[in-house]
Amino acid sequence: MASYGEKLKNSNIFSGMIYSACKMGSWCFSYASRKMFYTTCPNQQEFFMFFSTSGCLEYMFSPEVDTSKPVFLSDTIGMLWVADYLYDEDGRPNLVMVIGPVFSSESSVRGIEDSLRSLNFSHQVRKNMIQIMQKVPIVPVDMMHQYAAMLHYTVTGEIAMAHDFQFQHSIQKDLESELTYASVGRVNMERQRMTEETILQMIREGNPDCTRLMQERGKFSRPDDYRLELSQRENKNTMVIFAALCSRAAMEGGLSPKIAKDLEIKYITKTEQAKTVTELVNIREKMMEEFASRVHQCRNHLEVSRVVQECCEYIQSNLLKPLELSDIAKEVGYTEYYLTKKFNKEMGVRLLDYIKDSRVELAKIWLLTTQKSVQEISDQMYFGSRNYFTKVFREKVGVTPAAYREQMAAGQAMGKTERNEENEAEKGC
Amino acid sequence: MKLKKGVDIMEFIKGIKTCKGDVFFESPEDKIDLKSALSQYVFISILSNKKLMESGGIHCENPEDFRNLEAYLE
Repeated sequence: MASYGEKLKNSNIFSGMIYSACKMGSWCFSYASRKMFYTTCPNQQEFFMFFSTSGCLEYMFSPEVDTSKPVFLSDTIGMLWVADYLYDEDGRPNLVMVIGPVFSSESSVRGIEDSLRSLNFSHQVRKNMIQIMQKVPIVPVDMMHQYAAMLHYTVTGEIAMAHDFQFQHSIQKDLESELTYASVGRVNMERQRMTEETILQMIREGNPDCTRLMQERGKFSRPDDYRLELSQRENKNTMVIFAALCSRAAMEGGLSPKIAKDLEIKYITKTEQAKTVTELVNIREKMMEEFASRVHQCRNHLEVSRVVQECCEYIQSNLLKPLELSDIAKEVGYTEYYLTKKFNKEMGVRLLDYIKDSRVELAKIWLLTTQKSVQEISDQMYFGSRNYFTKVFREKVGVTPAAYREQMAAGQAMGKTERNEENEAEKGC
Repeated sequence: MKLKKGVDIMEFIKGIKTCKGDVFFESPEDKIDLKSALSQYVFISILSNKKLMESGGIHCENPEDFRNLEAYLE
C-alpha cells in the first residue's frame, strides 16, 4: 500500500496525465477547511464559481457521501466532475481530489449555445461564455468511468468497480445503467458521429488548427471510420461522403460555394486515386486542414461580412422551407436589392444560385443515405418540378440524381462483393 | 445599482436566492436574470470583463430585495 506522500505524488502525476490525454483539469481541496489548494483547470476562477454555485462543491462535502468511494457530480448545464477522497495516515479523509469539468457530449455545448441565442444576449456576452465553455473537454460517460476508476486507484490503491460509484443525481445512474446494456457498437457509432460533427464545426469556424486540436483532444488517434476489414471501395465511399460534408460545412462557414466545390472535387479525385488506407488517412487530414484554412482566410480577410455570413447561416438552417428572397432579406435586415448585390459581390455567386447549390448538396446526402425518391427530394427542396431538379442537379454534379444514386449503390455492391470474396478466401485458407 | 468592488460573488449569488422577486444584471445591451442557473454562469463569465461590468448594474424587481443585497451594492 502506497504511503500518503506517494499517493500525493501519484495524484500530481495523474493530473498531468489526464491533462495531456484530454485537457481535463484536476483540483485539490482540503476536506476539513474546504479550501482549494490548486487546480490545473484554465479559467479557474470561473470554473470554481460554476462548481460552487451549482451545489457540487457543497455536495462533495456533505455527510451523505461515502468518502471511501468516488462520486460523480453534475450541474444543470451538463458539466460533470468526479471527486474522490485521499485519506491521511490516521485513516481520515484529508484531501479531496476532483477531475473535471467535462461535457459528456458535443450536444451539451450546442445546447448552451442555442440557449444563449434564444435568451438574446449580446454578441460580447455570448462570446465570453462560449469561449469559456469551449475550454471544457468532451469526454463520453463511459470514458469518464474509466478516469474515475484511475483516480480511485491513484488516491486509494484500490480497484473501483462500477457499483462503487456514487452519483449526485439519480439521472447519472440511469445513464450509467443504459451504457451497461448498450452495445459497444452503439457507443462507438455515437463517438464517431461526435468526432465527425466536431470536425465539421471546426471547419465552419475556420479553425486552422483543426487536425492538431483533434489529435490533442484524443479523438483522433486512429480514424474510426477506416476499418481494415472493409474494402477499399467502402472506405473511399466514406471519404467521398465526408468530402461533401466538409464542403457544405465550409460553405456554412462563409467560403464561396465555387471554391468549396472545387476543393470537394479535388479531394474526391485524390480519394479515387488512392491505393492504400494510409493514403486515405493523409488525404483526409489535408482535406480538413485545407477546408478549415480557407474558411479562416475568408473570415480574416473580411471578404464575407457578418450580414452575408448570417444570410448563409439562415439559408443553411432553412433549406427545407420555401426560402423567399423577401424573407431572407427581412431576416438579415436589408432590402432585397442591396442584399443580392452584396451577396454576389462577397460570395462570388448569386444568392439564388447559392440556395440551389446548397439544396443540391443536401440532395446528394439524401440520395446516398435515404430511400426518398427523386420526386420526393425535389418536392421537399422546393425545386418546382422533378425535371427542373434533375436539370439543376446534372449541371452541378455531372449526372442525374438517379444516376448518382445508382453509381454509389454499384460502388457499395462492388465493395461488399470484394469483402465477401476476401472472407471466403480466408475461410479457404 | 452597481456591484461593489471586491465583493464575494458566491455570497452575492447566495443572497439572490433569498430574494422574493427576480434580480437582473442590466446593461444597455443585456438583461441577465440572476435567478436562472445558466444566466448565473453567464454573469460569472463576464465578471472579469471590466467594460461589460461597468456598463451595467443590479436591478431588483421587488424593491424590498435591495435590502437583502445592500451589503453587495454601492
